Amino acid sequence: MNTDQILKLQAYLDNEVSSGEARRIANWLSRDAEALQLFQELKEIKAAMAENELTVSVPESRDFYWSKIQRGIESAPAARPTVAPWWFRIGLPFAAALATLAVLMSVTTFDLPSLRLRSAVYEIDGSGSDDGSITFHSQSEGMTVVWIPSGQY
Amino acid sequence: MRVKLSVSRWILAAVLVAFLVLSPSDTVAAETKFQARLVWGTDEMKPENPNLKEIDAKTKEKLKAVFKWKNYFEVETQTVVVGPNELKKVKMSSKCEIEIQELGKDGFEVKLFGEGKLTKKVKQVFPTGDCLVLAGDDKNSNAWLVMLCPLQK
Repeated sequence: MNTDQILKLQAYLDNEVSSGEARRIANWLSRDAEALQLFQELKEIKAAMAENELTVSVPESRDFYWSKIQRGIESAPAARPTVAPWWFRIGLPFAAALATLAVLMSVTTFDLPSLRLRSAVYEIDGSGSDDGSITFHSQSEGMTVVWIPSGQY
Repeated sequence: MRVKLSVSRWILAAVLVAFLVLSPSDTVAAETKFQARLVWGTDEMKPENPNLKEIDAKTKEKLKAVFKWKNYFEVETQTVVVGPNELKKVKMSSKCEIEIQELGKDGFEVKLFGEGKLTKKVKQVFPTGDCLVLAGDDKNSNAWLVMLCPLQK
């Protein structure tokens, strides 16, 4: 018996199948002893679980029980926000500002060659690529090569 | 941990970032220094021209990793300083000239001239330590290379 058949039996037991499907499964159970045995076992397990669920009783009355919880909540000390040290309160906005600036610098090239040299952003203008020249970049050697065919010079 | 931060500090930090980002670039713009080299790549051991000197070992290894030639000799080496929006023309040999123009946030435009004729135009934002190499075939299965490398300050 495969998993699909087992799941069908479980669904049938839980009344989760259509009436047509239920008829087919009932017909199948009447012909298949193995399926019928499994169905009986599933039925017994379901009955055992339903009948043996533990009930927990509260010693007080329902109203008293809930009012006790409410009083507990109300009497609990209110959580006070933690006050950060002065250097943290001042430093955090500036650290955030510097981080923003760093992000901007990593994606922007400024009119400052020294900054540009540190930037990871670079580009090759494809102008003249129709002339047959080949451009490639060697990351490992840190080199951008433009190979110009001999007919161009 | 909850932290109380006054809005005024965040505004101050935002103003500081805006000031840093939007401040006129002329106040911080700087020159960029390049090393421009005309190199001859060959499989021959010793060049006939006594003015050619063997390129330094580090550069040779880099070139050998990218190009097929075994040996590389310097024909000409020059240091070029390019200011903001400045255009510099450099004569590398009697037949070869390069023009470097600073384009602000767009990086640099490098033009290669062969016997006075514009051969190739490349726009490049130089990443850290990376070189631009314009190269082509030469007679007798040799090659010429124009290397343009930004020099770190």
